[in-house]
Parts: sequence; structure tokens; C-alpha cells
Amino acid sequence: MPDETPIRVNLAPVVDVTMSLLIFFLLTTRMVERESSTRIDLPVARSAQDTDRQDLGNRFVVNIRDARDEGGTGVEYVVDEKIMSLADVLNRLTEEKRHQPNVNCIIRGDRTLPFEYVQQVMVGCGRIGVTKVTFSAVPRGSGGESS
Amino acid sequence: MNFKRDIPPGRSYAPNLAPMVDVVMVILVFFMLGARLAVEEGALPTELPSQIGPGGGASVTIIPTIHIALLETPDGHGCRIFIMDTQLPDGSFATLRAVLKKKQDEGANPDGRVLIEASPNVEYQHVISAMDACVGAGFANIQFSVGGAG
Repeated sequence: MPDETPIRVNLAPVVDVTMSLLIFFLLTTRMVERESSTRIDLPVARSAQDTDRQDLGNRFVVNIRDARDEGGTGVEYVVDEKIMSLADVLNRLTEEKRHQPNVNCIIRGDRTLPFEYVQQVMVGCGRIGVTKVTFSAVPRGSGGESS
Repeated sequence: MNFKRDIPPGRSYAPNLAPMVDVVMVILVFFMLGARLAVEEGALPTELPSQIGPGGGASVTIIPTIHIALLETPDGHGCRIFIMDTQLPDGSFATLRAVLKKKQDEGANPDGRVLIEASPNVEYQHVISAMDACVGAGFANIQFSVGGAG
């Protein structure tokens, strides 16, 4: 006569493994304060310093997005998730500089951008009197090393 | 309160783990996706010369220790690297880094100014790679010329 006892899956090892994985991801995932939800393909620089360890002071983040391949108008300046013209960006920066004299202008630009667009922001910073300019980059090893 | 009253004698009592597994799996998937999205972001700080501050785009004469010029290649994606007006033969930033390192070993002042002059059409990645090469070779005082190379 066959055994009537139902077969039950033992979930305890599954829970053990899942909990271990959960704790691993909890510990390793850094809740990065995202500057913007703007998708930017940052350039790669081996010597880029970890932003968490560095005191960047009062930040003003300018995202420069290369929208040429997406049928967009070309290059977009994005501040606080709003697309604006370079003149508006510089007006916002001037306002920021009035409140925070030591403002640090952080430039997050797509790696494929012509340098001209970044240069325009730098020239604007110079005119406004913002001397601290920081370039955001991905601190990876070998990518983007050669031309 | 007697919770065991419905359990037949000889049978063990076990909590139902299935809902717990469901919840934990959802949390796990959230963190796995979160870990992928959180791209590490670093920073390359620089200081603009204060002379070009309020007053608007005044021309400043900078005598750099090392002058690096970046010009785009005809295809528009690559770049030609010049150091002190001499073109690097292979146009690689690894070579630039090696040349800069050599200059420092030969006695160039690490606090001296390195001026990067890039053509407006050079890709931003190349400018950052040049800056990266300078920092990697030990030069910290990097400045940019906004006049355009050529």
C-alpha cells in the first residue's frame, strides 16, 4: 500500500539563503543621492575621486545631455530636472552664487559631447566668479583611455 | 490560549513560511535592481583662475609648466594630442600619462600649471582623459584654456 504522507517542500534552507542574499544587498547597496534622474553617460576617469568622501561643499549641478541621436534639439542643459537654455543656467548659477559665495559647479556631461558645450559653462562660471568647478566621471579602470 | 489544541498528537507544528519567502524575495529583487542602478560616480575637481571672475572674461596670460593641446581627428571621434607643441605619435592617453610621468621624474614641478587647451569639437571624454592622465601622473594644478586650440 503506498504511503499516504504528502510530500512537503522544506522552505527553511530557501529562507536561509534568501535572507543571506538580502543582508548582502542591504549592506552593499549604497543609497546614492542622485543629482538628477537625467540619464547621463558620464566620461570615464581612473583618478576620479569618490564623491562620498570628498567635501564638495555647496553644489550646483549642471547636467549636459547629448540628445543629438534622439532626434532632440541637440544638446540640452538640465538643472533640477528642468531643461533650460545656457543663459537660464547661468542666471540660476548667479542666483546661487549670491546666496552661497563658495558654490561648487558640478558639471555632469555626456562623454560624447563636443567639449564646446562644457567650455561654455566654464566660461560662464568664470564670468560669474564661480572658481570651483568639478567634473563628474565614472572612476573605472581602462575604459575611455585611448583616443 | 492553547494554540496546540488542533494539532493531532504525533504531528509537529510549523509556521507557514511561504508568505515570508514571497516578501523577502520581493525585497531581494528590489535591492538587486537598486545595486545595478547605483552607478558609482566620482569627481575631478578643478579651480578656475580667480582673475577671470567678476569683470567678465578678461584675458589672463598663463605661463604653464606643461601645455597640452587636443585637436579632433577628421572623423570627429578621435583626437590628436600635442604636448609642448609636439604631437604624440600614437595619440593615446596612456602615452600622455607616461610622458607626463617622465617629465616629473626629470624634475618638472608637480605643483606647476598644466594647461589643457582643447578644440571645441573634441569629445568631452578626451578632455577628461587628458585631465585624468595629468592627475594620474601627479600633476594637480590643471587649468583649461577656453580660447580653443589650433
